[in-house]
Amino acid sequence: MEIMQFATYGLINGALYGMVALGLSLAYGIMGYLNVAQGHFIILGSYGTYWLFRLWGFDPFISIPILMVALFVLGAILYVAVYSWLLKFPVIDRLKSSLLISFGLMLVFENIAILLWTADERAVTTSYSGKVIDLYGLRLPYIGLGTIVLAIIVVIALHLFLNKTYFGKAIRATAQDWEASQLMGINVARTYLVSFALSILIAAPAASVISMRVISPGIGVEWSNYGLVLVILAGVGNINAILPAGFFLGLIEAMSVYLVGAPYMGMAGLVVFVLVLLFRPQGLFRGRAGL
Amino acid sequence: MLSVDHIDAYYGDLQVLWGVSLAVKEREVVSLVGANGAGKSTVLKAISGMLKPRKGKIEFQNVRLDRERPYKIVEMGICMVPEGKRLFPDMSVLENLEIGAYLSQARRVKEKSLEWVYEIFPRLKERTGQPARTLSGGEQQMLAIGRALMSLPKILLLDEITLGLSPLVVENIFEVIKQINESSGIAILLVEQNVVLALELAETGYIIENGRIVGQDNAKALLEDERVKDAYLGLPSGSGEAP
Repeated sequence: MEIMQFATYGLINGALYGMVALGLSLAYGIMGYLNVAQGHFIILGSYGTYWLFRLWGFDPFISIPILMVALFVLGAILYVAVYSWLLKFPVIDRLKSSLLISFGLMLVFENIAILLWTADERAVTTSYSGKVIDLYGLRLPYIGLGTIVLAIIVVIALHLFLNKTYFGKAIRATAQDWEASQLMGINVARTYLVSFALSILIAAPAASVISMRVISPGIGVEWSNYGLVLVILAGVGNINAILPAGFFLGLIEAMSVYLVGAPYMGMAGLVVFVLVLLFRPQGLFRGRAGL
Repeated sequence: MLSVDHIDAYYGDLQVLWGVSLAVKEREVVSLVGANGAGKSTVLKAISGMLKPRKGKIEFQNVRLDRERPYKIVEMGICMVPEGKRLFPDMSVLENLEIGAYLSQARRVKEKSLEWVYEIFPRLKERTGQPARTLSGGEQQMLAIGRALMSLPKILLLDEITLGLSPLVVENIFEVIKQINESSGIAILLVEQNVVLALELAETGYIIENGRIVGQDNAKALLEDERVKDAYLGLPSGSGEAP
């Protein structure tokens, strides 16, 4: 039974990893931007959730829509201010330049966050924090269940948006051939702007969940790391595989905790990451499904 | 309807078009022929807004377009079938066609256009759910043309659409283009290395060499022109070299 308990925690973590990585995968798959500041955007969102809770008592799950709007606006502003300039470069240069830019943004965000909120660790503690459902001895935390439900909703919503709406299809077309998209009357500059803002907005549920764990200005980079590992595991640009890859990574970590011990949790993920890079650099899953 | 007026175009610092002028009238088929690297495709790129000419101007229905962005030019009714088809490989045939009808005016009549395109290319209807990359070369070219038609263009720019296709498929596609022009009155500007077929289809022909227009005439007359025969058809000298 104990192994099942570990697996449950693994799946919960995996769902969160998946939500963190989705935006990274989207921005990379659509525009060729590798936004390593994604984790910092998320933490910024978590601070938003934290203050909404502290000042006005907003439940973190209820704050998600507010957060989505705020992150969308933040993403759009950042895109116009710093990322849109890269469009004129070939995709490989976009990748390199976006790495540099987002590294810079990481430093800026981290230091602003320290100035504003100090380096202290904080967390939202709700009335249901730590509460569990007992399922034949298996403890299912409320927040954990919420995390998995959120992750599934986000993935399904994104899938529907990209495949069923005209604008979503235009985004996929632009990801596959932006020049041909232009020739079909798609305003590529606007599509990129919305796509980038969307890649930030989609982290809102993750930001909310993380605010109920622990937040500090420096923690963003850890989440970006998880995001990058997942992007590689899933296969670059393969957004449909992000959540399965997240569950996979979560389970690997949980099993390493079960078999070896908690201190090695982070290492197990990195070992898998290196193995995948060595032996299956195209990712565990095939294709660019979803874009 | 479309007039290109003395444009100069550059790739970086390299000038590739020198004072190129040409005109397409309503419902007309015009062919622009020339050797590889003569600047044929560059002319189409300039019209579709992918390359801004440094000098000269381009007008469509008396509206200047050479400073507009590509999607605005599509809105005006100019749609290009780019060289190499440039389909969306991981999207289905239907989705490719839907993207063709992305403009709001085209989207409103999407279902009707879809029927029309499937009527022209019944093969596409059979393949409707298949990813574009799984189609044969000929089918991909049909899809590329069909996708452009979905935008309900007033003029269609066709860039080397016969490249890499078998002679039979090529003939087939030219037949279809003729039909499209005759039945719906869409003007066509055709850029081709396949000089004979292109001039046979067109009413007016232009010859481009090293980025300059060197000849312009009724297409049938051009086919008889000694210079054309010499340079592109390789008929009289009989040297047997490919053009």
